[in-house]
Amino acid sequence: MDESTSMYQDRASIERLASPAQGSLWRLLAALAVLGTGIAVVVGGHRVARSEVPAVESTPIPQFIGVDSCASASCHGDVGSAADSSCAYTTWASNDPHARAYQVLFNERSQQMLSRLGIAVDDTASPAYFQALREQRCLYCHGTATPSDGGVEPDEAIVSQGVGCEMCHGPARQWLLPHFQDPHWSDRGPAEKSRLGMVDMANLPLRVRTCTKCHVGASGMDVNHDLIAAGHPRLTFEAAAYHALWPKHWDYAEQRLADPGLPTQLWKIGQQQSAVAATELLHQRAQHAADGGTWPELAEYDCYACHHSLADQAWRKRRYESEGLTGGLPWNEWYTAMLPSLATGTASPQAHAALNSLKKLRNAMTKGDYPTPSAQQVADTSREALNRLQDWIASEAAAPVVTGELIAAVGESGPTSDLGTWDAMTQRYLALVALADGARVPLSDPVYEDLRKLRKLLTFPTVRESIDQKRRTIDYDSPATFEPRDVQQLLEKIESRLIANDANEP
Amino acid sequence: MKQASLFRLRLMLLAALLCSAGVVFENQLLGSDPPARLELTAPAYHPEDKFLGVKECHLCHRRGAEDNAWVRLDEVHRWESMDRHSQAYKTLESERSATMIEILRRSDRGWSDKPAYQQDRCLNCHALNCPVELRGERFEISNGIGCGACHGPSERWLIQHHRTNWRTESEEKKQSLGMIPLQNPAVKTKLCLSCHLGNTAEGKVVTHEMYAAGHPILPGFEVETYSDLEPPHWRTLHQKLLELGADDEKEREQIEKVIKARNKDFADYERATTVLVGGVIGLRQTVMLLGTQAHLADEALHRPKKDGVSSDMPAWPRLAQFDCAACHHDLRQPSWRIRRGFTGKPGRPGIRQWPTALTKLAIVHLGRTPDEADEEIAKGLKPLREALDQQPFGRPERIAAAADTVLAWADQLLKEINAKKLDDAAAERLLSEICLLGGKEILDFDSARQLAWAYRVTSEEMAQRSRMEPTSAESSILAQLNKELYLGLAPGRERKQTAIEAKEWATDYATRLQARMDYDPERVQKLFARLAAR
Repeated sequence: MDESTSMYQDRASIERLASPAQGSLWRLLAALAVLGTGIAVVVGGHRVARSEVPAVESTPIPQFIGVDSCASASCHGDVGSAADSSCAYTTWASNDPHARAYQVLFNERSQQMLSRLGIAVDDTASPAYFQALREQRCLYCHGTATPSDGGVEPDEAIVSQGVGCEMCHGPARQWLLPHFQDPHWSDRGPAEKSRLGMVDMANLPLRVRTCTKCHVGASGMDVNHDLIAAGHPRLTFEAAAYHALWPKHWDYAEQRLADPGLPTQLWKIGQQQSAVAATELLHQRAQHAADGGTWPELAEYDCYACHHSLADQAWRKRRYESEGLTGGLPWNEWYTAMLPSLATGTASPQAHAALNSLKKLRNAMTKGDYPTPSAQQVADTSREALNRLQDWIASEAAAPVVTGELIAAVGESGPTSDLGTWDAMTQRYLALVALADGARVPLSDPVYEDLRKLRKLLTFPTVRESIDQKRRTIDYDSPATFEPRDVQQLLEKIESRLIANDANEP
Repeated sequence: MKQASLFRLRLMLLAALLCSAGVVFENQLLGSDPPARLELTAPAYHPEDKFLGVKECHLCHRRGAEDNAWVRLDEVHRWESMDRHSQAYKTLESERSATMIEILRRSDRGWSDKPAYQQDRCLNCHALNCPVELRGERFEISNGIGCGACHGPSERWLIQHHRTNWRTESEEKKQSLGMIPLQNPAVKTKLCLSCHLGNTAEGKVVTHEMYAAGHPILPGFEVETYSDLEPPHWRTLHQKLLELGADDEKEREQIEKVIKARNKDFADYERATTVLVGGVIGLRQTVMLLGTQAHLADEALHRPKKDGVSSDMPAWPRLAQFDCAACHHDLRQPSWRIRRGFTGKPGRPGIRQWPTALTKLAIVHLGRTPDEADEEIAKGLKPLREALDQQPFGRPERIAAAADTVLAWADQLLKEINAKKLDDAAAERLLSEICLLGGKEILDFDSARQLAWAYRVTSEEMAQRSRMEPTSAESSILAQLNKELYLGLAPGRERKQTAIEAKEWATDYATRLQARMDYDPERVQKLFARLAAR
């Protein structure tokens, strides 16, 4: 088994994973191991093995050592081109929002959130405030820390560095020295490096899964409905878009030249891996609920199925009545809407099995025990879906990704205006942006004008109102003016333009 | 105690209707004991009590009959030509109802393909859906909510109620013969709320699914305003007094006797008292409905599932029993909801807000300060709030138990309000308090409406007693409140014996919904503040 499964897990949990007498665990891991990226850590480590493996007590070692170890001017703290890895720390510190993730926890909104959650902490500099951030799980995405720290008190000096190098590249306690001392370090393979805790960021599925831990959520570090209701923004991760917007601290331009289809790949891998992450999170939530935890987890549902003005119902009615879902709670489809497009034109039994298992999961979530499903049923169905998704991904590991085919597939099997939710239609838009990038459509092409128009139709509105002669701006955090039929024509126009472009490519 | 027994009678009545109409009460299937105060079933009904039908009443209560101070005698005519209760059944024949059934059929939750006007779940509120053997010769289901639906089956009191000494008979006597004593504010409000809010024992429950399929929302209810807009086919005792001629000495004595029997005197405001009693009953019945629904859900969850048979009711949550606006609003900033804040945990929907608005006013009327009233309500509702905080929508068994405790508190509060006088001075204080609360608090649409309605009723009653017109400033502010809060009800009342035109209704409904969504408490707060200085 590839021990890169360690990711952020301490050694003890790896040993737990690898211990014998875990029939079903091995079965699951066997499926996952095919992937070679070993991203099933949490499922494997906590949930699935929970009832079968006695907990192994171990003395945990703090794994994170902080960005200071990387920031030396002769290592990654140089000043120069962002594309030069010797400037990686500098780029991160000066341009990357991850570097400021921790500061966010001290702004007015965060303080309001804590107070809404019933935590009264006036002094943000007090140890009590830090403790509250830990208890509310804020640290694990806004700082350098992990919930699987084995009970070790997180070191505030390191945590407060924000989402630093080690949050993606892996806790460096064991690899720091060989990394800069061993002249042959770069000759060592990813498997060997990962044994020391370094995460192979060149591996795209693994890179995406590193993002999804926070941007989709994982056990112990998820944004649930309580947090959202208290003021946390909803999470809407789409790998290609996030990746495009992210200030790179390596030579991405060169990589793109070498592999023009990189955005397409990122989009496809992003769709699949985000679905895996979302399904895994749902599984963890449902299993936790089946064991007596909170249920339903409202963050799993389509936000705007409930949160909308009662005076505007047209597209919701079309969609949910057609499914016989009148008045029910529909599972959100942000992470699943584009998967049928990925399976279009393939006879792959794994792809169809995965889509079927997701359909079953959707039924269990939305129709199972109306209006909120049985947690145990969802836990079981989501585990099955997770396995099928992993099988599908593994079966395609060697398959080439062809941008033109995917554009056609999005047009053919993407969510349609009659049944589209905002989530689904926005994912279809994001797909086209990534695929236009992957097809190397020049920025002068009129298709971008249409994409901008489409984007405007999907953007949450800002409305100016005047009350008693006072004018004010209302920012909507929901698609108050959205109508899927408005975007359908534009989508089709963009898609045919992209297909025509693709056909003209030499 | 009196109220409780009267209400039981009402329940008895309806249990018979529902059982024979084929509704099987879920809780009869299991033997577990529900919390004591939750009314889940209604006992069997007097077998002789036939509903004789509107036509029977029409023989006397028709237009052109000789009226007097006590009785208008044009009641059936008013009901037929102005009161939408007479159209309740016809609504079920509308296109909208047919569409609703079609949508609900697709949901595969035990809805039959019968039209709405043949389904008990619709008929229980849209008609007097009594068992066939209790329908008199002149009874017609298509009369909708006719006389018998509110006044009770008339078989055993029809003859006696012709006599003038019937007027001074005790509530207990009338009730023992099957007549429902609607003069009692608590009895009346509970009766109205059985449809306008819902009642588990009587099979009158609008589910979330029905709303989603197109059932209009049930707005916050205020008994005196709804009566006023019905419009009334009766007079209050005070109005009767005003109608009396110089030589109506006998009638005057009768009125005095009736007032005395209610432990009140001439100085007491009947309508304003009903507003306060009705307000607390609103909270009580909201909790009753949530609690009874929770109990049924709890039993359904523990009952072994029958294969292939989908339940016609969801287990839990029964979304329709929560505050609609807790979820259904656009997410936006700045937002008055965020400014207002919320009680309990974030993201845990609570009960409807509007019933607490008048409950607070009632507690202030009892002599407490607004802050004390807030504390008292928070304390009274605490068990329920804790149950609802446990997880989104709470766990049903705990909600049922909590509801039971809250009901005890509400009943205690009702006793206090009943014992309290409401004279000119108290009414004046009430008006001031309404303006203070309305000017200070960030209230949701339905709660603000409750206060505006309470003001209007009290102020009108005061004007009638003092025979003084309201000031033009007051009328102008009330007109502006009307514009913000749609203080009138949906149209269709003025139409003479015609069904409400669906299109007109739908346009109006859409406008009202939009107004609800555009509602901004700031504007309403300012109006209440100006009203204080009227």
